[in-house]
Amino acid sequence: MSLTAQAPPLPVRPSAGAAVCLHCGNAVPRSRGDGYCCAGCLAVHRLLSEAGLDGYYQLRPRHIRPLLDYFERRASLDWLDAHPGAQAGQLNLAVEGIQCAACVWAIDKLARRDGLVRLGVNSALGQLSLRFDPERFDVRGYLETLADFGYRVRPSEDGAGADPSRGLLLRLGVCAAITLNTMSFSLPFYLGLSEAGGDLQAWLRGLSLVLTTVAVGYGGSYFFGRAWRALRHGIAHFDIPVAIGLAAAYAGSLWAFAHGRADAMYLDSVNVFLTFMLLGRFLQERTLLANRRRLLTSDAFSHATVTALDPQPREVPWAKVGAGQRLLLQPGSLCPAEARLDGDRTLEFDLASLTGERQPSAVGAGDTVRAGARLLSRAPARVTTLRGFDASALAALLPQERGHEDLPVLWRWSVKVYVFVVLIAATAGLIGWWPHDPQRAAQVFISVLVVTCPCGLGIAVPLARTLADQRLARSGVTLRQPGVLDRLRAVRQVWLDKTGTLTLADLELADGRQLDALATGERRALMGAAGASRHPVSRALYHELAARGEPYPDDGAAEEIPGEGVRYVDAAGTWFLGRSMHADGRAWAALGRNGLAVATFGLVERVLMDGPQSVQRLRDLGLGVGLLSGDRSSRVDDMARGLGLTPDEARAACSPQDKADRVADRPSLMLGDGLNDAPALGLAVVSGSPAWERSAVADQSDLSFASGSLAWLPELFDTARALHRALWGNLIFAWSYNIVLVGLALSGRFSPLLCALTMPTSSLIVSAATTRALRR
Amino acid sequence: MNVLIALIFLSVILAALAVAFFVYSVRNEDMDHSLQLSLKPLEDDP
Repeated sequence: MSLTAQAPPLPVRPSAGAAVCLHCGNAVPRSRGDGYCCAGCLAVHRLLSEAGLDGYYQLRPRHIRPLLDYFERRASLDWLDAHPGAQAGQLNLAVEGIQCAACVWAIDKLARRDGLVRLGVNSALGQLSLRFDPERFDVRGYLETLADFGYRVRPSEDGAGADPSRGLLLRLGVCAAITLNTMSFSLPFYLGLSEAGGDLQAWLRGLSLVLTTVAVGYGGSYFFGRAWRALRHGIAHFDIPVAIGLAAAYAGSLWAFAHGRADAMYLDSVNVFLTFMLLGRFLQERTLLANRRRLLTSDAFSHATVTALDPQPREVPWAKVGAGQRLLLQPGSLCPAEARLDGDRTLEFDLASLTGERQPSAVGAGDTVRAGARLLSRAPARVTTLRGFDASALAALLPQERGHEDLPVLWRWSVKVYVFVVLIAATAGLIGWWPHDPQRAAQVFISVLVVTCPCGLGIAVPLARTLADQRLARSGVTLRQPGVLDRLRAVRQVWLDKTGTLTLADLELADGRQLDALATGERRALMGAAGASRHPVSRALYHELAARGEPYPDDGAAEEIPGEGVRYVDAAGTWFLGRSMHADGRAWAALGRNGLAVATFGLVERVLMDGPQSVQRLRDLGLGVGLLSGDRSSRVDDMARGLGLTPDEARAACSPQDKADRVADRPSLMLGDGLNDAPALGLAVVSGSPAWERSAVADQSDLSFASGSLAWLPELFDTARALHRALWGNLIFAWSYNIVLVGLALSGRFSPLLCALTMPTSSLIVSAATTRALRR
Repeated sequence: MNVLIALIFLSVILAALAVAFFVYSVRNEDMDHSLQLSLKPLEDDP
């Protein structure tokens, strides 16, 4: 399937009467007449039909993501041979591509068909656990079948089903059960049962106290431990007011029970508070875990590749790089392992990706290149590895987990001062009441701490982030750096690169015979030039040549000229691989020697869907949209027209500096994929690159996207704005609620009944408001 | 009154049983595969 730049981008959501893809339910481009939106959907639909799994289409939602990148997703299963679990019959795998219940059903059905003993599919976390008899079950065949169906698997990074949220789930379940029981035990008193005397009253109060003690001891220990650690390190952490409120409310209720003071017993409120806090924390843990696994699945080292030169050029995963291996690093590439620089040239490398400091340094021939160093020179580097790949040496390259950085600054500040405000208010109440009535003073002190328990804040933030993450994940967006959603609010302009960003990663050579027609020397020179660059045009030619067994030449010298092409010098002359002057709707590359054209190559681009609609939505959000491309004017104008951009909004023939200047003009979001985009990406408020871009700029960008549609872009802004609205709304509500109720508590008018009513009500209000704000 | 106290104990025992089943279910990793379990009723009879 190919969507050319000439064909206007089509809506992914079908209009009334439009043909819909038989597999994914999205619109079928006019250029296809087979009922599928892309070749990936066609392949998987046929496989499902052949396997008798048509039930998939009864279970899937109306639309799922089209499999536009199906053929680029195939990952090697070489790791399976050395994996101890394959021999032991027990594998825990991360799986990418599960979209809905239909996927779970199909994976389960395929396992049963192949005779698997036990299969567990955790769709929320993208995890697969297999238990099987290695003698009778062909695990490689099963995983290859999953790959055929579009699911990519790799070993789980964090061991046998380890799930840190499971302990929280147990605490949450136990505390929720206790909460419901203590609430039902308290209800008779709120409905008028007298506190005075009687076995029933004593049993109800006694049982409530025992159950609450269990809940505080088991569920509360989570917060006490974390608060204690925060105090020891001098950090004003959110768990401190939670732990203080919990301990004070429980201790106060214990005191009230011992003295028969029903007006100061908050046992049911203690349990409600504890359960909501655990629920919020459970959501937070699950979100972090799902985010971490999603990042590892899509972007970590397991899918990073480098060009190995022996016995012939081929892409190998970083994890397969061993000692003594000859590698070719293209400009902008990272060196995956410690290596020696071959050849006779001095080249420039940088360790900024590991240290955060930009420190270019010259590396002479024979000197050592550190693992993680990025090649800054424009010439490719041949290196021989001194050690094998070691992931721990490159840990700094892994995406950062997000903490509170997505929260607005005032929000973070507000959470910090909360601790002190609560303690000051409670102490003021104690001191103010003590001279008049010491017992009342203790009750006021306890009630202030109980009423200010940050229930709303504790559940609103994790819930908002969970919903925002789910929205983005559904759109195919992964946030790689902290604070992206907060920074997006400052963005006023969206700049899009063309090739590799608005088109899918891999171009296709339109006619392979063009390569076959080249003379031997011309093919060698083309390999030397194409292999030296990671530009999509070069990659397409390089893959075709490598597939034909063309070796990478040792005798030439290549240099990439960002935005223009690659110069390659060998004994036959000076070659140049760059843009062609041919004018038709397709991408063309030209090979020339000593200034004379040798050959041209037609390449087919596949354009992302939903372009015009997405651009219009961005405009509706008040954002400027523009196209920045190094490509020639006619092709850029074609693309701009297809996107609904005016000629003024599309800039052709941009140098890297031109792009950087444009981006620096206004607070911008820049999407790009190549070395020529690196300066602009560095100046952008928020930068993004396609998930399939794995070497040059991906690890520096703020987000990655993997979608056949551009619809994720306005969705990203919508999500950031919705998250901001939800957080501010909750913050204002939480402060207003606390100010009113603290006033009541300080005046001595607060009661356990009022607490039992307001605490769950406030939590439900913030939960409902957050869900409403972030629901799509 | 004694009947009420007996009912309270009965409810506590039922709640304890529910918690025990919940703990068993979590340890059995049922919560991790909840979507898969929800599809069980759709399976054909063997």
